[in-house]
Amino acid sequence: METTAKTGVALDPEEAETRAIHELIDVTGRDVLEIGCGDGRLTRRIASGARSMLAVDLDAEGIALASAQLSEPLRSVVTFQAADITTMELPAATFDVAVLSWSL
Amino acid sequence: MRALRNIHSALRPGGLLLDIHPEPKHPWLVAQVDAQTIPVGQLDESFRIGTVRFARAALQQASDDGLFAFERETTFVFTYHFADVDAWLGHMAGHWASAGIPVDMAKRARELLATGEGELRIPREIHAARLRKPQG
Repeated sequence: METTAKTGVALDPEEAETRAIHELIDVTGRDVLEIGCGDGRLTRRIASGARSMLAVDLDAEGIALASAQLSEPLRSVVTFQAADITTMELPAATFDVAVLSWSL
Repeated sequence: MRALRNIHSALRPGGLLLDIHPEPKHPWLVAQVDAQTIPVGQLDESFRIGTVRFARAALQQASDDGLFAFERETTFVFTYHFADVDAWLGHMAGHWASAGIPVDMAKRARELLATGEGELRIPREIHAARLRKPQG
């Protein structure tokens, strides 16, 4: 559950979001691009099983936080990058799945 | 559209695009006190509603242009839980600045939480859609 006694906030501890995502996509063994990753909340929920995951967001502070909160097993899977999806250069035909996370 | 064209280019043929956005509605803050759900007030999400409508229009345009085809859609409820009013206000200030909080909402929330054991919640309807980049 994404909560701490310090903040007194829990976001979707029911994991309704994770269930809905897994009903729609299977990232197992896939190369995943996440746009609008923020502080990495959703990244941490869906990255497990992916072959690779590039998570981008405009907010460099959020990216730093996301990177710091990433668990050790996911560090070899996830790469965070502060970037603007409208202008960043992405290699062509590289990803199997793209996730638009509350962005555009 | 530039973002969607960039994503389209980065996806392999047959690749999937998952779009997750809140429904364009003004969410309610509710107090869950002693197993009772009591509405506190509605947040003003006018700014977010505008961006969601823009995103939906862009996705529809991308579909009309043949970049992606809609495959499946679903909705679910994403619930924010706040231990108390200060936790709620702190979250709004730090993570949800686009929402307007009506005057007296915090006061009403404090009064409700003082009546028993409970917490504040924002149940938010979310829409998720899966689209696919054509193979060809």
